[in-house]
Amino acid sequence: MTLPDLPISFELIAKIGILFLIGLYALFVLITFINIRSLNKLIIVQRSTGSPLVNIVSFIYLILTLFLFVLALVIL
Amino acid sequence: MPDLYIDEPVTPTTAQPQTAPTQKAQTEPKPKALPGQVELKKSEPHILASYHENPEGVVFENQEPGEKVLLFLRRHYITNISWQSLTIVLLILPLFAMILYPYLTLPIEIPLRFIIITLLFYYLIVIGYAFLSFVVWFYNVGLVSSLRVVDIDVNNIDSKDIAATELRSIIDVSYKQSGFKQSLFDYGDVFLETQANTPNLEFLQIPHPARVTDLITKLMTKTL
Repeated sequence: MTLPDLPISFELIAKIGILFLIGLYALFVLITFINIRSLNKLIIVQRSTGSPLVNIVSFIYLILTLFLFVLALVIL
Repeated sequence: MPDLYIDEPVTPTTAQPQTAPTQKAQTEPKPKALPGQVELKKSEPHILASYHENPEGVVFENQEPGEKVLLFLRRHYITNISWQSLTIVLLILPLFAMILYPYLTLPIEIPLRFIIITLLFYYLIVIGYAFLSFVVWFYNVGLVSSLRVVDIDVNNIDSKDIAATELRSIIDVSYKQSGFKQSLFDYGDVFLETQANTPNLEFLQIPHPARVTDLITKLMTKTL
């Protein structure tokens, strides 16, 4: 490997690495979302705000993570 | 100290026609509390509540039809300070990195798009950490119902431990409050010792442990 090739290979490795990490994290967030839903079946802390709010926030968080993954695919 | 008011179980009357609920509520006298007892109004606990008597809107799995939740417990809110402080530090940290970045001499220049994505990913992880810590606190719930005591422990998001015991199975209730912080904010651990064949329960770092102990003791004597 010549010296001028180094930045290109670094960029490629970084690109794959970041996409892999975000993808892995998205999987973790998906598992978390499913677990929160199962917790909501176990106990409903409040009918109006509490548990439904946590459920909605976890869903928004999942969407944000997937959005970041797509953004990383597009930008990088 | 006021007792928790437990009203009689309602028996359904199918023969009588249903009248308008508002009129019925106005005409029907309210059930009187027993002498020496104070009727506690039902109200929905606040989203950050860690102690609530006679909560409304709290439902758990396998709850019996006539079973009422009398006490709702969570860890004291002050116990969340550690993860909240860490979150604030982690949120501020990239700002320092940005200040120091021009002074750093890196062998390879990192493209701006990589920095943006990495920063967004970092903030997503930090917010995720804060959210998960909140969820773990939110679902770590202790319940005292008219029939039993339920302890729901969510250690991580993927591991939960649920223990329940009937009030009549409890043989001893004790609490421990130690340290300056626990005395200042009035929180501690309540331990419920049960008969040999059922597991012991514990409510850790809950507010007003002395009051909780007293209430459970009174409920135990009622069920005997």
